[in-house]
Amino acid sequence: MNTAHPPFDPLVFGPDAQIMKGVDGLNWRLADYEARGGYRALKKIFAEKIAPDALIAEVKKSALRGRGGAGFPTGLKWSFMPRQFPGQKYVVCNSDEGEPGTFKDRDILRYNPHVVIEGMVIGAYAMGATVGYNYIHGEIWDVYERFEEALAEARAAGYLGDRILGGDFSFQLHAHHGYGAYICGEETALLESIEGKKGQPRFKPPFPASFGLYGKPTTVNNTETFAAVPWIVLNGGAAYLDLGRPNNGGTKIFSMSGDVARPGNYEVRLGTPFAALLEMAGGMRGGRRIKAVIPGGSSMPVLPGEVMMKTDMDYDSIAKAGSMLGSGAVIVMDETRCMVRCLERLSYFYFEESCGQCTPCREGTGWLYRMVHRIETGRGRTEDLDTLVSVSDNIAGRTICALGDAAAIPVKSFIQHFREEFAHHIEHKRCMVGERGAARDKAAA
Amino acid sequence: MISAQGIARIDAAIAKYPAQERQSAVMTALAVAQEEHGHLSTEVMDFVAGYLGMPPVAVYEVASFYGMYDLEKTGRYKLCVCTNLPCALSGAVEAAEHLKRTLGVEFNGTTPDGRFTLKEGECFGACGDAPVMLINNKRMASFMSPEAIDRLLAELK
Amino acid sequence: MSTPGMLTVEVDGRSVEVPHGTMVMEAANRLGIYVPHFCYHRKLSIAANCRMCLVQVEKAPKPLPACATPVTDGMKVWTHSDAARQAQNGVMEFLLINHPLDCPICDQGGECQLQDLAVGYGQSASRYGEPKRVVMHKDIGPLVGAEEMTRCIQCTRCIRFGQEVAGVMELGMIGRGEHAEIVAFVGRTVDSELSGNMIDLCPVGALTSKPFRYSARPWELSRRKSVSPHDGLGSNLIVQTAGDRVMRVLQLENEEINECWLSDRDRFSYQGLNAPDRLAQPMIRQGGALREVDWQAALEETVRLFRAVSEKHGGAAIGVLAGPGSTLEELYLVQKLARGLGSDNVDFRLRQWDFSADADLAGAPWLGMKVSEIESLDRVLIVGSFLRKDQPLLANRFRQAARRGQQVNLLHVAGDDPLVRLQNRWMVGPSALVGALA
Repeated sequence: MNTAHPPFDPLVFGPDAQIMKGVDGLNWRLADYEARGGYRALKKIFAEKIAPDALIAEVKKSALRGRGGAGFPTGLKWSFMPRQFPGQKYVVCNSDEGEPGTFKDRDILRYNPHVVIEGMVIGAYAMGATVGYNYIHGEIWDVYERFEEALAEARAAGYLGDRILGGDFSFQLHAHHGYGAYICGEETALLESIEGKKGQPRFKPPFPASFGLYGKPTTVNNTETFAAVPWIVLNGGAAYLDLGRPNNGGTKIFSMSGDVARPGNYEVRLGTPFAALLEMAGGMRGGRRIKAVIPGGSSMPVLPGEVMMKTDMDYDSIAKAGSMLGSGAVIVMDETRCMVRCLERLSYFYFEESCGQCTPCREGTGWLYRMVHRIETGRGRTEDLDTLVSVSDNIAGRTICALGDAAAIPVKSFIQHFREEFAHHIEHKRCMVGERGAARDKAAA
Repeated sequence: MISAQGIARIDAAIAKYPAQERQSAVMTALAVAQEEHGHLSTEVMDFVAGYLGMPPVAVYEVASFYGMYDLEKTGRYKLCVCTNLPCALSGAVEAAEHLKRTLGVEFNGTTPDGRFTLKEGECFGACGDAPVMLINNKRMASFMSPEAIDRLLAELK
Repeated sequence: MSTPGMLTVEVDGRSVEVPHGTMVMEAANRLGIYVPHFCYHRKLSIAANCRMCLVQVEKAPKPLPACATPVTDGMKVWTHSDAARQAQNGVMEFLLINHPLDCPICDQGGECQLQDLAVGYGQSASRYGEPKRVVMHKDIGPLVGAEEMTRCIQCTRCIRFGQEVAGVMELGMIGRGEHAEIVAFVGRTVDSELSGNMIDLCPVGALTSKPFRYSARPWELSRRKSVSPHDGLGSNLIVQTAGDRVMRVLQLENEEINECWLSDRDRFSYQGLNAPDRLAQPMIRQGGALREVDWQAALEETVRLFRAVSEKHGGAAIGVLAGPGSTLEELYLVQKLARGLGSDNVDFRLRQWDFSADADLAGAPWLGMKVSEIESLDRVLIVGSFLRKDQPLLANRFRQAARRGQQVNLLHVAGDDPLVRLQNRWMVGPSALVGALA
């Protein structure tokens, strides 16, 4: 386990942390979790004989929205599972966290794995599923191994397995590791991957709630979504909603990366101003000026820094500002960064990670990357910008899954907000950011 | 082809899934096979196919789809450095350059002594610790400044 | 209002009623409306990966693939509206950016789905100025050529055919993204007895017929309908000829018999006609040596021999054996000839030596039902058949039916795998076969 992290401060996740409350980096074991009040939600459900429908109603009331990126209302998703289905049903946790900028699930799983287990057991009970899987990103192998340990602890303590806490409900939960494919974060690709196939997304409909893992009704939720559930059960949906804003219930872990002084995860109430979040992360690194922010993971539109400084961190506010909250991965870029170069790296990523199944993404992501690469390396052509936008439009909304959109959105938003940088690259075969910096240095001298 | 302990790990994975879904264990089986053989040869994939009752070409599909499997021989230590945007903003490009200079190889190159293979990785989901490196798929190294890289390379014999 | 249990859908302004579960593509086809497509094939599972069949659907925020979008009641679809055309043209552009411009030397030229649709949906010049992808050729056996895999558009029809129809997954798609390519497992070949159908299914010139390679242009060939001579099934064929030479054989669709498939035996056996060691001239043995003669001389010699036997021993001393693969018409003529010579000794059972059951037979033994009807049987017992080799397309019928719940049982003398999901398999020694049946 990585110990290279700077000395751990219990407050590092923020004063309003709920999922990460009391987590200090070492106290991940079952006994620690119980000491923090862990598994009390589960005990409460069985002691008070709370019906599955009542649980789903409570989650609906909390306005908890999917923390993986799409922000779909969790309670509503749970209610899609067929109630009277006689056969096997599954719940699956999506811990295949590979969206550039996102690293919250890793911290939840390594520092507080039991909160995910408890959330999954509750979700399984609410949806009548008896088997579940947690699909963990392949690159964080030590986290996968730790989760297996946590599962063993939970089984031994009767929180998991046959007749949980001596009651009638049984739930078998297993860990499944990925092995290096971003696309498996897409829920149907993830299901294919559990089935032992290439992670190629399925076309929908049918949706997983009717045809999921092994063709059975399945609900897939993000790690952080499950992790929020025990708190909601203990404190009520209304209290959770009150933590955030209407339609944006609860706290959210934001992964702050890029040009900030203290990159890391910060759990704040939804609706917290971006400026306050940036402050928690120590402000801009080296005191430089903010230029651009991708507020929700690399697939979401980039916004100019000045727009973000006036925006609050919740689903609706960020949408109003022209982007999306996504997975809560905040990538901050300062004034010295070349936007063409930043986009080039992102476009390369989507080109590399396209699964190759459907035409617009397989062919289009390479085209986008090659064009941006040419512009970055001084071989851009005047017509390239229009072609980039038009090719992006031909990918977005035409593919089996959202990776096509994810590849198109950065291209369009970078050009929309920073067109002059691209135009300068094309016209002068070099970057204007460096020139500006040089001019400023000259003026300062 | 696979050691008894390796087979035990594969069997443990098979037990996680419904009895008729042995194929679900293919990712673990290939990971175990790669640990033991260094890379996934045709023979190894064939063995896994037979063990799990899959068509060999379906195993090949999986082995070639997921980035952490190696179909070619690598050095004793496979160093994978993430250069994606968040990491790049925190020194990953410099880390990669430092590695290339120190090892004298480009991405996908192996040092002549067979000790290191250098690879470029995509997001590990650890951007807060950037620059990050993955050693032999299992060990994550965080905050890899040039000095930290030098220490790491010295440690990996 | 729709008939109960039916859904009404409007495609390009025309209404049609379809049952639940019908896809937009099928509904459009019922109206005779063609929706461009590559990966869709009515005999294969839906992949929805080529995206060529994107159409505009009322209230849908983005274009939807006709092949994978189920009809809902009252749905309105436009297959050629501006929005639909824009999506289809966009997909066509993507398909063409990495496709080589080698139509003039491509065997598929003239019968290529991509070439045809590019005329309607492509542009005359490409906006793509970046390097094109190159995919290495593969050797996957002597019949199916994979010599120009750069042409592949990754529609996966060939893979799905293997998994679903041939019953064995011999091709797969490795890698991902732009680097994805169709391959057989390292060092393996495609050995299915139905492999040639992949050539028909491939919508581009990626999988082509190796024996036919570079030998003719499809539009230069005459087409003659025919029937397969190789088994009792009578698969319908198209024999394509240039002059008097058979150049290749293709399937002729007949849903009642071979559907749209053909076994490799039926497809490729024409090569025997053109084989250098084929007996093409009559020969007469004289003094222990064979000598080529013309047909007139050969026929005269035959008449002389027949006459000699018949005069010396009577016409009944003549026996006539005909190949069982001959057509009914040929067999009719043979028996006519024999009887004209005064002989009733005519037979076609060249490999049978026990005729003791002849007395119990009335008429010709046959399947007792239409070939297509075997799929509707609940239970089947197959006795002593190497099904895939004996009747490759019947094997496929059982394969499909077994997936839908037909119980197929096999009593056999060898562990031959029919690639059909079997309810029971019983293997006995050949001598125990009759006992096992009793």
